[in-house]
Amino acid sequence: MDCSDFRVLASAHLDFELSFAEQKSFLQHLEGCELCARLLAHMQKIQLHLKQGVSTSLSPDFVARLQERLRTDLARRPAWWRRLVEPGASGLSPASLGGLAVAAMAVLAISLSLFRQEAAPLVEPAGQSLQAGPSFKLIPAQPGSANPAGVADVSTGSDSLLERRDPARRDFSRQMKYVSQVGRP
Amino acid sequence: MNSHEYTDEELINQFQAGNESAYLELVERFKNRLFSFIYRFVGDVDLAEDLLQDTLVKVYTHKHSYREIAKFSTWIYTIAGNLARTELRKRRRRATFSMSALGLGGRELELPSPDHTPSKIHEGVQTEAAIQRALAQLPLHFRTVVILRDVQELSYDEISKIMKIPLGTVKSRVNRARLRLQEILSNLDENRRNKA
Repeated sequence: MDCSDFRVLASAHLDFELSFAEQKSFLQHLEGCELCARLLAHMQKIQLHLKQGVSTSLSPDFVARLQERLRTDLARRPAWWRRLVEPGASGLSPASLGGLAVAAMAVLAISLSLFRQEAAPLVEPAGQSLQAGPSFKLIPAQPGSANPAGVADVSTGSDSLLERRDPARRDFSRQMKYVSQVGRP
Repeated sequence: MNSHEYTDEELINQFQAGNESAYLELVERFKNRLFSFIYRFVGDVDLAEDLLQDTLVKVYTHKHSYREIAKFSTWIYTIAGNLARTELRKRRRRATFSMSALGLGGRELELPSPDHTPSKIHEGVQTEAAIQRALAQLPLHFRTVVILRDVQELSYDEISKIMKIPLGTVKSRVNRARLRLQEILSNLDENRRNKA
């Protein structure tokens, strides 16, 4: 064993983690190397100091101050929050609260997907007109006209905006109109 | 059954069920250990007390996030360690943290040594100051392992769970941290002797 091996194993020696064979060669090196012996003695001394703990102590009123802070912190939170984080206070078990959270997430996800469908761009990129449906065109802005900002012309055709964006919806809507007309006396 | 006979895990379970005195018992059990852990970490008594209070408030308000898959001590040391590291990073960013300041906050020192003669007290204070300075010079990941191992005397396994690193990494990190600490202290000692 050389000095660099000794340094690698020094910590394991302090923690009594060396195998019998490792310990034997470690001690053999220690006997013949003054530098490593000094290093190990210093490490042991530091470890002892660290183990003794800190010489400072907590303020005597620490627990009282902690309790006071808890009282003020909790009082500052709204009642609904307290009921939510304190299952005992709401009368609900953590499992029921988890179920409620999952249900709320599901409702949120459905609402978001519906909102996204509604909020999709009404004007398509050029060259990507909808199948067999009326195409949209932008009316250029004309100062003094009824449409100064240049908004999309959505007045063409009789289908609604959603139907124009979604062919399946449009087809279904047309079928329903047909069924209602055929069904009339 | 006396509350002292309950394990930490039993106490946190009781606290989760609404028993406030179980929380106070946990505070009594951990406050000094955590204080010395945080103090060794940040090197400032007042800041260590504030961070300890933050840790215990977090235990109170987030009691339901503790799951019995881990030891309670692992959980609470993780909270304390994270808060201390975050605070140190904040301070480093603000560049107001003085490594030389011992931050004893004017409080009197109580020496753990049984020998309380004035010269021994002075020597003890000097050694403690030197160790605290050396710890402050260690990189954060070395400082954490050496404090958890040598100050808190936690097992390698528990340190591995707290720091979320493999057991082998903990062992090699502890060894390198101890060697680095020894090196820093030797240099400090040499500088002091040269000045004298």
